Amino acid sequence: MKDIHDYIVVGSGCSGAIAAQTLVEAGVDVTMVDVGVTNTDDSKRPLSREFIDTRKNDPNQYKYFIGSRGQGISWGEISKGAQVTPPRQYMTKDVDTFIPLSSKTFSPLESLGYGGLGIGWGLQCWEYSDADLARVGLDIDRTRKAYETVSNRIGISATKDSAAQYTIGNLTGFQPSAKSDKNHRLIQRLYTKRKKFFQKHGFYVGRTPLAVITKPKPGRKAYRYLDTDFYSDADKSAWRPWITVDELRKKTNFHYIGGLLVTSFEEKKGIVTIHTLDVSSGETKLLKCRNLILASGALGSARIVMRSQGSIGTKVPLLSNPHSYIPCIQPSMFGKGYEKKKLGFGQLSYFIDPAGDDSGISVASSYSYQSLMLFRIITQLPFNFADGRILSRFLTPGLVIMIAQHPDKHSPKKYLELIKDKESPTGDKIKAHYELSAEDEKEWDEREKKYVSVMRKLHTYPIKRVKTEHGSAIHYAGTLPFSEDSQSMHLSPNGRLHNTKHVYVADSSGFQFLPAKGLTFTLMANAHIVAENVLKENS
Amino acid sequence: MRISPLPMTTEEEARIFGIYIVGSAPSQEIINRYEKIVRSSSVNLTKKETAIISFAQRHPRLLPAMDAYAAIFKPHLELRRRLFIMFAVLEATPKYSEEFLPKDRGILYLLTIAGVSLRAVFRVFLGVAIMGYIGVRR
Repeated sequence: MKDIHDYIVVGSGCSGAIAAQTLVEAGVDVTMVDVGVTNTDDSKRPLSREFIDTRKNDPNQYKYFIGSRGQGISWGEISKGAQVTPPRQYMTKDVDTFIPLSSKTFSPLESLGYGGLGIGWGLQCWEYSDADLARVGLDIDRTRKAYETVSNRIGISATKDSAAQYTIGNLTGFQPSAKSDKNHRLIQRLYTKRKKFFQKHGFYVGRTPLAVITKPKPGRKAYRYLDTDFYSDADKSAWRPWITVDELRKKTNFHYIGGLLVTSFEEKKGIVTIHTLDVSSGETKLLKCRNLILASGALGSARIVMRSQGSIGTKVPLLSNPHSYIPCIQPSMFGKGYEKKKLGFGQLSYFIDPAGDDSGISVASSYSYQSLMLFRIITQLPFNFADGRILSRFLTPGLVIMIAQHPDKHSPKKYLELIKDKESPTGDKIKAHYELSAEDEKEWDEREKKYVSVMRKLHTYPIKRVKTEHGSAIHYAGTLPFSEDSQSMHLSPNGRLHNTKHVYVADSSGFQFLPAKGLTFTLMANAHIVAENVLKENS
Repeated sequence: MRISPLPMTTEEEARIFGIYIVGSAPSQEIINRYEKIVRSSSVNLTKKETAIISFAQRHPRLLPAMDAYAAIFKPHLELRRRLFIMFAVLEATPKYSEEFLPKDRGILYLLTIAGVSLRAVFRVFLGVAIMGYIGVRR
């Protein structure tokens, strides 16, 4: 191992994996520094049987569905991470200890896992529109090219349907979508019948592009419709960042150092010294590099930068998509029994675009319920457990869960602040505040009411709207916004941290605006662009 | 009314809850799993919570009505939490999978739904009376 590393990438999540891959493919020496918590639980082996088959025959299924210690049985209000099933819960391990955050208004999910938040990502790969990319602060042409690169690397399945302008935009390198299930075929059929009517009212429905392969790629098999996607990454058909990092670790110009939490950095005479905390021993360790690429997520990177620049008490902005759950019923599907060979991921995307210009739109996606188990919804029903069980067996085939998301823009009422905390191993913690304006609340409320109204016309009847805690969408951005001016706690448009020469941020920290469409595909495209920029500046 | 400690072990309680939810006594393996989870997530019972669980253990035939009442008026009762744990444990077991998986509608589909719904409503009314007797107010 060298004394001075050429390129250090911090974090193994979606942006870290893509940035590292771009650098490694360019032939330079790359070191990834990461805490890299892995699943040591007895649910780590992927489920290789179909969901129904597992339910009927696998005596060890409880390890996946409720957890061997019952850790998947969540009692009470829906809280952050409620969707994270026992085999994926390691993604949040040690977070409260090493990267504490306190807030009464914001409840984010962070990860120190090997693969970061990508461990539990819903795999939706929407392209941002030109208008959105401009508002975010990204170069439109380069991002479009980067979308292609990322799509070819991770494998995306999609359909060029009537909502393609909202889902895949101009993307060409994708595989065919996996077939949708009965619930979603019903919605698609009804939508197609009255497409002109819906589109006239600014409502578009299309297949959700997913980072799931339907044709094999090297080391990965085509999706087999096991319907165990909430619990397991069988056949690696769904892309996860750790798949890429595992591949990179086979290369001679890539090195992975796990167990280290990067806390801060300092730059002197062209060398960046990185301070890390060994999470096992509690010791401080130093690493040196010529180029540092932070990819710890918008909250993680902001934490490192604030600490490095001595910005205790300084507020940095924050973006996060407000979102709601809208459970819906399809009466014609009641009593239809279970469906075998089913896709477990989100299947349809719904767009409300009142202006018709794909800017500032709201997005929803929908899942059918089968593989999420009755116990997760039984307490939401006004029945005793015995009768609720009997009724649910008839009702769940007609249950569709919509998740509606809204865009977010900066405001003085949304911020992070690093404050001192003697109990934290790093001596500090983040304090967060997130408050929507009354106008935004009203607008999102009206859009969700529109979803409710339109879904009824698709014979899919919303039964309630569940507003979630802010931050629970797990979409964070905008903490170190792009800026042409050389201001501290801001990034230059090429991803370099202002007032530094060799420190870059490759995640969503630079976004000046957060469109409603999930950000992961775009933050990976940005990570590729930032890595290219670093290479260019070093060439 | 007089508050007594819980008259039964968690094992006996598991048996009662299993019979209530799926109609048959659960195996020892399921009982052990239930006990482990209840123990690992144990909470300090208030006098009222103790009274409710104690009553349910001593009168298992009235458990459905107590649960029906709680589902509407007291959803966060410890009794409900324990039933919920047993529900989840049973659901994640091959032997009972058919009792939880989606069911095809047969000829009596609508009658079954109507009958079970009516029974559920009746149980709520009965539950109001029972919980009133124990001293639980809405």
